[in-house]
Amino acid sequence: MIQRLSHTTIYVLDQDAARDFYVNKLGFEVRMDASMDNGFRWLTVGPKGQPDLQLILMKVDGPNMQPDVAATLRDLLTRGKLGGGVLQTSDCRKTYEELKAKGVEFLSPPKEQFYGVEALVKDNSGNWFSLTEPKN
Amino acid sequence: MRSRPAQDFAARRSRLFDSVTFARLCRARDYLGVRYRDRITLEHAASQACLSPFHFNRVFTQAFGETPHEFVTRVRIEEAKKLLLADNHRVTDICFEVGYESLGSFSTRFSSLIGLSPARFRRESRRLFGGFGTRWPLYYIPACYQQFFVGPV
Repeated sequence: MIQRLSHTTIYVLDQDAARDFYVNKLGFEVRMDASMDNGFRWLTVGPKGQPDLQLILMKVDGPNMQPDVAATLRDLLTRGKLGGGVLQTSDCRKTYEELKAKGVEFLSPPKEQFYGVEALVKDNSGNWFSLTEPKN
Repeated sequence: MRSRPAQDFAARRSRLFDSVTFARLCRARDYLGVRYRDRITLEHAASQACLSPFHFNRVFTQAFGETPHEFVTRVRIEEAKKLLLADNHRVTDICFEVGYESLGSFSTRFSSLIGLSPARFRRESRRLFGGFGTRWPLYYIPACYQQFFVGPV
C-alpha cells in the first residue's frame, strides 16, 4: 500500500530563477543542488514544515530531454496549463499579502471556499498552485 | 541508505502554526541549520524563537516532525554523507568537520541512522557510482529519474 509522497517534479524554465523564487519568495529550503558533468542539475526544494517531501525543479530542456518534448513543456508552462499542487498555510490572506509584497504573481486573490480560504499563485515559470488555508 | 524513515516526520506533525510562531520556529531552525557544527544548547536555540526551552522543543517537534536535536543530527549526518561521497577525506576529519567531537559517537550515530558505518557507506557508494568526482549526486537521484532525465554521465 502506498503511504507517502516523497518526490514530485515541477518543470521550470530556468533552475537558477526557480531556486531564487522558491527559496527567497516562497520561503522553501534547498534540499539538494548538485550538478553533473553532462550538465544535469539535481535541484530539489521543500517547505520547511515538511522535511520528507522534495519538489524536484526540473529544467524543461535537460540533457536527456528531446527538443520537441521540451518545446511542448515550455509551451504548456508559458500558457499556464501546468499546476503544481496545493500549498497550505495557516492564514491565506496574510500569506497572500506577504507574497504580493515580494512581487509574487497571483491568478486570483483569497476567496472563501467550503474547505477554507484559497488563492491561486503562480511561480516564475508559469506553474500555478492553490494556496489554501484549510478549515480547522 | 536513507537517513530517516519519512513516516517519522509525518507521524509527529500534527498541525499548522500561526505565521508568527512558525516564522520564529523557522528562524531558530535556520540558526541551527547554519550552526550545526557548533554545540548549541536548547536554551540558546529556544532564545532564537523567543520561546522557553520546553515549549520550543515541543512546538518545534510538532512543526517539523523532529526534535531540534534530531534536526541537527540529521543535518550533520547529511553533510557527512556528502563529504564521504564527494571526496577522499579521512572519516575522522569528516567527523570533526560536521561537529562531532568523538569518532566513536559519530560512527555510532551514522551507523544507526544510515545502516552502514561511514567507511562502508563510502565503499558501497564508490562501488555503485564509480568513485569520486561528479557522479556522487547519483546517490540522491532515484533510478527512475536517472533513466528518464540524467542520460549518460
